[in-house]
Amino acid sequence: MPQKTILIVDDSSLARMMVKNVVSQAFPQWEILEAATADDGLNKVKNQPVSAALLDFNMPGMNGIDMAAKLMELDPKISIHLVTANIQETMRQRAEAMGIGFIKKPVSKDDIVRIIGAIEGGQ
Amino acid sequence: MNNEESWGRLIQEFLLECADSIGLIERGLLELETNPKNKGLIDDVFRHTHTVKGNCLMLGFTKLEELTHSAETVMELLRDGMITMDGGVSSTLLSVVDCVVATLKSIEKTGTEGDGDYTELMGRLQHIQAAAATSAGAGFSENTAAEPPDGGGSTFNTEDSSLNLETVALPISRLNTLMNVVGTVLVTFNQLRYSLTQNRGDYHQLLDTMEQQIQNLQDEVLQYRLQPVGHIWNTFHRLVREVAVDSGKKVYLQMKGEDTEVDRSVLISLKNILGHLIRNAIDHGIEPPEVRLSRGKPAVGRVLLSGEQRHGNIYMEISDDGAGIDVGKVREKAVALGLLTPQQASAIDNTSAFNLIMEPGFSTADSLSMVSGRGIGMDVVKSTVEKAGGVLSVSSTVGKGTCFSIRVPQSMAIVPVLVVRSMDERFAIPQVNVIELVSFYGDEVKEKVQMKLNSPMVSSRGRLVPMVRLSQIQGQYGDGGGHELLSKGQCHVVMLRSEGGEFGLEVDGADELANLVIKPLARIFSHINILSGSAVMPDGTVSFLLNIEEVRKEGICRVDTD
Repeated sequence: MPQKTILIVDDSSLARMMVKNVVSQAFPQWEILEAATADDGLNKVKNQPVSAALLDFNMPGMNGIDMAAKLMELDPKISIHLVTANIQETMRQRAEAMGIGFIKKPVSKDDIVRIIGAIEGGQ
Repeated sequence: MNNEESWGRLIQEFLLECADSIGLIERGLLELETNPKNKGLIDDVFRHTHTVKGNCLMLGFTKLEELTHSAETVMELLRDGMITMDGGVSSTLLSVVDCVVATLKSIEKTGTEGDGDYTELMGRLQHIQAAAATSAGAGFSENTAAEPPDGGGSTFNTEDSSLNLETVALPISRLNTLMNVVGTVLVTFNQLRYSLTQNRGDYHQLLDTMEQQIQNLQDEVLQYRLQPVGHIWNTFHRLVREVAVDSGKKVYLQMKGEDTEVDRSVLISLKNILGHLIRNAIDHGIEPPEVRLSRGKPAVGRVLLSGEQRHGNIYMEISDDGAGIDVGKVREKAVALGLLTPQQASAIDNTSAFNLIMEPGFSTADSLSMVSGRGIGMDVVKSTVEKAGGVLSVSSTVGKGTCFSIRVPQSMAIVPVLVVRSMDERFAIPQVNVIELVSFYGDEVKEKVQMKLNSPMVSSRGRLVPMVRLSQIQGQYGDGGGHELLSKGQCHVVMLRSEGGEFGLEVDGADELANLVIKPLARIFSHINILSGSAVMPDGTVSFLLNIEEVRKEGICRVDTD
């Protein structure tokens, strides 16, 4: 199986670090790309295709929803999840309208197993 | 890497990042003390507070999370303008900063939050939140003014919404301002009464003063009635989600200009219309993801809702990047329905052709332009916009998408107008449409007014534009009316701008500029397209407000078909 990549976008380095820990423990074969802003994340994806993306909503500059729309335009096959500490109904509605996932911070191992498991099981 | 080691690194990262954010929050708060309305600064402080809160949540520092969450809520109230930054709010938030710094030190030393007591601070934060909630609840209600201008019953079901549009929250300070203005009016009124009863002869000056004061009062009240469109738009996310999930489509609703302020009654009357146009865009515009991909489009469809204020008008657009409308099919259908002859259908431009889908009877015959599943035709959408004093237009490109544009006056209660006379009646023309008033005498009439293909044209500033006569629309002069114009000794024309282009309106004379309180048309007049409202004139008589777009359309079409 070729190596797969997950993109983690969050302006908090702590948040990125925690998700990274979970992914690398549960799925050590996956490569992890990190970005602190949406723009940086989009640039990284242009150079390297990714299979999954976890996007923080509240970031300086472009927010996670706007970034998700751009990611979907770049590659419709990416499994995208919006990650947020506040469970706002509007946010969930926007994610669902776009057909992307929605998970609550802190990201748990179960969340990661579900998301990556679905991708690995899907091939 | 064992767990202990990994935990240590997380804590280190946590402390570094929190210290960074807290420093920025503190600096931001201090800057806000001198510059309390800086929105960018409030946003920054909010976001950093959110980061600290999120970090505490992730590492399970629950006491700190609770405290920062409460501070975040206060920041949110500040950001949304529900409270203002004053000394009390600022010092409470700065105390939170101090408290967080102390707790971070404890975490650094002992790995735990320590036993600091936040009860008092939490109480202060909750007090601020409670005060904001009370002031919102104490707002006055104005049920009568909240009625849509369409007196003839609501056209659409009002969807349940948690938004309470019937109530506005006002800070006491604004009520005080209002009271002061009323006080000045009262003083002038007393002086005026004294002047008149004593025959002092200085009432002209007092009247001028009072007019100015009433103007101030009006401006003040209008300010209260303005609300950002975003308040309403935010409820559309739920609608988009429902329609998208039901139809198996992926939709990204994007908004621009949510801060644009509109009169509440305009907002209320347009709320359902916008909802239906959005629903329509998803149901009929946006294609299913697989179809979009096969057409080389991104799987996710975009619906853009934008708002902008220009020259006292609000411009709103609902556009999608979906399948678009085939203008050729619209033409064919107009002919099939007998709305146009084949010759007319091929002669009209695309803009006019697209506007056909908003004609009564057009949309009801085909799902193409039906507002989905509600049995509501686009003609109803259009007339609702017009009842609010607005204009609806549509443009579309096959494969690229459709765009509905709405233009409404920012406030429809009071409209600055030019009062003109025509056919022994007085009509009011919104000043936003007026370019200038020109009069021709004697031979000038023949020189400036010409008949082209049996249609009168007027020349102004070197340009020849169509000229419309109200009498023509009313059919008083019968066929080809206009030739007798040229033999008149004088001719007065109001040059007007409209969506369809500039044109001249021939009138018997212009009376005055005035600010009129416009009321919806009585039912018996509501079928007359060229009128959009009525107003009581200073002398107590009633005059009508002209719908300039319709005047142009009817006036020019009438001539074309003669």
